[in-house]
Amino acid sequence: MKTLEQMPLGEYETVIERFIEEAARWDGSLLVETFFDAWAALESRKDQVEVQAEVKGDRLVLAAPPDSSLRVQGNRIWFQDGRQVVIRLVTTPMAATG
Amino acid sequence: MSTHFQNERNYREELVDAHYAPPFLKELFGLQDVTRESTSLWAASAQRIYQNLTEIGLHDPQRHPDSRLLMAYCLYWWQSFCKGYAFKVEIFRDLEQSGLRFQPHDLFDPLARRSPHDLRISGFWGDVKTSTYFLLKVSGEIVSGDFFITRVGLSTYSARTLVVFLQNATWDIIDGETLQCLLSDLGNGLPRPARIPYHGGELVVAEYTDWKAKMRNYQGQRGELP
Repeated sequence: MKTLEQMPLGEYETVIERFIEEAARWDGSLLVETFFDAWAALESRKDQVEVQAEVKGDRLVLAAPPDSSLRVQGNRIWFQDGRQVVIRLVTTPMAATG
Repeated sequence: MSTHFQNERNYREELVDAHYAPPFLKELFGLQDVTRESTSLWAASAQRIYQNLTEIGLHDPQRHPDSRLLMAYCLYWWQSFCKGYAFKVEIFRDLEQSGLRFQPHDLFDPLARRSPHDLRISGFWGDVKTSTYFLLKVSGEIVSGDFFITRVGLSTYSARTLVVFLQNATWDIIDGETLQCLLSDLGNGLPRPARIPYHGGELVVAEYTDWKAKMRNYQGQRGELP
């Protein structure tokens, strides 16, 4: 299934024209195939989100690429739905040898 | 752009509602046949939205394919708006022609448009909805209005049927007899008013014409009709 931003320009313009022509008469119902195709497309999305991490002294500093959907600051990551993840560095005592 | 428009509501209010809602509603009220003529009104305004967003640089489908999503969102929102308000005007006109006394909210007032109710009739607060989506609140809350005029697609009826969903208490005031059934079996229950389970409680569903007749009777008993 192609999404709007993936379509060739001509196809996109045709979709918009058809929507403007037909939307007012649309009763809101979807074809069963359309519904399940869209559901399957959403379910199969496995977006990989990249975050870079750097240890500076005793601090973890995270960074996300400029086009990332995440907001990142210090050791905290904000998701689009408002949830936050805070990652804390844990220092493990060196095992004694000898 | 992202700093100015904090969320999708800002987008639709500033890019679409503020410019297109007042003239659309004005023209809508001037239509003779709202159902038929509002479709061309929608198409003309949707074309203007397309041109306007392109002219101001928010829609550049060639160089910025992501901007197509903004266009799709604005057009989708605008068709919901147009369809919703065409339906409200149809219902308001029909209630007037049916001789019922009611107070619609001012559709030209943006604040009134955001209010949770579209009309008040004999002390009951009601809303006009284009479909039963209002029953499925994302927040999990139950609906709070006294009644909802809407359309349902039932397998036992050839076309979408106008019905009214009412709170139990509201129905009990204007009538009492109902049939117990599930929402999925509503087609077999109607035209008898049906009581359906809803979030641990119940709602009553009656045919629109039946509800109007009962409201006229109720308003007559209360001396509200001229």
